[in-house]
Amino acid sequence: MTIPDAEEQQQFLVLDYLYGDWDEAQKNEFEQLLIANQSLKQLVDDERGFNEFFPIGRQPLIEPERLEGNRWLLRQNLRKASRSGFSFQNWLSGLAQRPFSIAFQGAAMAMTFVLGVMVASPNSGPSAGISDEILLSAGQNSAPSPLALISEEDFEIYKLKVNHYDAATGDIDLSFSVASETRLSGNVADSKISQLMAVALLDDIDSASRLDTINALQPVVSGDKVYEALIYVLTNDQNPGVRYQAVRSLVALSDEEQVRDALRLALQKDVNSGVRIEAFNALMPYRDEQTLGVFRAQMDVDSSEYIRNQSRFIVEQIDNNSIIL
Amino acid sequence: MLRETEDELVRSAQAGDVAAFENLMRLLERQMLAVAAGFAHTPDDANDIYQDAMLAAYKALPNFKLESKFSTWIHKIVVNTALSNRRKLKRTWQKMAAVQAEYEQVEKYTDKRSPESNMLDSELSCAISQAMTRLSDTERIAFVLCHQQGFKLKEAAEVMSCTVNSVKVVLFRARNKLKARLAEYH
Repeated sequence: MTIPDAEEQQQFLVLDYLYGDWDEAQKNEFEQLLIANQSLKQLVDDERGFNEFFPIGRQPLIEPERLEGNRWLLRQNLRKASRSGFSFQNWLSGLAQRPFSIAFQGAAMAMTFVLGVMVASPNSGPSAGISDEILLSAGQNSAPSPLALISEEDFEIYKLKVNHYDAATGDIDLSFSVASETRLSGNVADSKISQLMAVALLDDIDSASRLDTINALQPVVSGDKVYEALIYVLTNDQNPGVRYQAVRSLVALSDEEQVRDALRLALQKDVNSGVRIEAFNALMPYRDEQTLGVFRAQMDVDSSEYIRNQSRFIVEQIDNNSIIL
Repeated sequence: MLRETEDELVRSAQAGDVAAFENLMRLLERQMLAVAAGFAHTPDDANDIYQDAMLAAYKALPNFKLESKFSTWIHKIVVNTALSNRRKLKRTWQKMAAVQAEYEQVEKYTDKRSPESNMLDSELSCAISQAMTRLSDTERIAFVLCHQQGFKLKEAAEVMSCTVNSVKVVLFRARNKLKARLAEYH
């Protein structure tokens, strides 16, 4: 082993010593070389000093309760994913592994069923192939199902199962799942789009997408389904960043009693002080009994000094006024 | 875990056996959560990264090739999930941090791999968490993998899809930043 002159090379050597896969003999040889090389020894001592303070292996502590909680949640998530996450492609590849006759019957049955649905549909005829643009510009007031935004060529049937078939009468009982991947372009002010996004917030989309969705919905937050979805997110979402964005979006609607209920709940229960502070700021102008009751409780127990002080200030102001009266 | 057992579980999980996947994760879950915690702002955020990563791993499992090491593959998924989450959530976190009068939600640190008895005091844990947030993404990956998880440089390079020398450069930078940030404690 030779000691390089360049500083960076010496640093690399030290990292090899600390984190590389050297055996004991190599480590001993390196330590012997340090005796004759003071500058390298100084570098190694510095790094050893840091390792004594912050030893290799020091990492965030994962307590058993947290592990248990995550295990439980993962189980729920995996069950959901395995129920709904299969693709038509997987179904086809599954078919491919079965004997040809069975695969052919399955595929034919699925296709027949799809054709049957199309032919028998009461919407079939000239208006059946209604495009997304027409749907989106129709301006209907009723809350649409997300299915109304999916055209017939956009969905696939998978996991078709024959539950019962009576060969004598031809009666049949089927169950199947429908999967769709659709792309929609429009404006978030369109109630059909905003309501679809609101419904998505209640489903299994990842936290980054939930955040994007809430951000996009902010200008149209007063829509029926939208603020209900935001309330749901504020009171149920696991990700504090997403809850924080939801509470900020709801501030503009704090005149609504239902929104104030959610804000009060967040102020009392949310573990994240950023979320609680936003909820508290939104509730500050209100002096109704329920809100004051929450302020009264939080002024003693909240871990945020700001919330404790401001709550106390409001409560004392109210109490003093009532004494004067 | 015996290699054969792990391979059997991987094969079953690849065929869609959820229970096999859960069993596979049972021995790695603490480590994966600790990796997620190394990247997250708060414990809640770390739990979220872990859940998203595990679902991504379950969905990507059919593409996993048995000749690779499962734990390296799963580390890669946790790291990538953490990075994409961090990028997306960064702006929100910045806003949130600005209104937080105090930042009471930080990870507690322990000296060794698991013993709860060696928990560090909350002030030092808080200082470490804060210092970690000053690292760039790559510095943080290198430090979490090599220093906290005990990865060898070669293994870290595999997870980070770069050369061993690149790992060394960012790891050295990360150590220097942490040394400076935590100077008053050592």
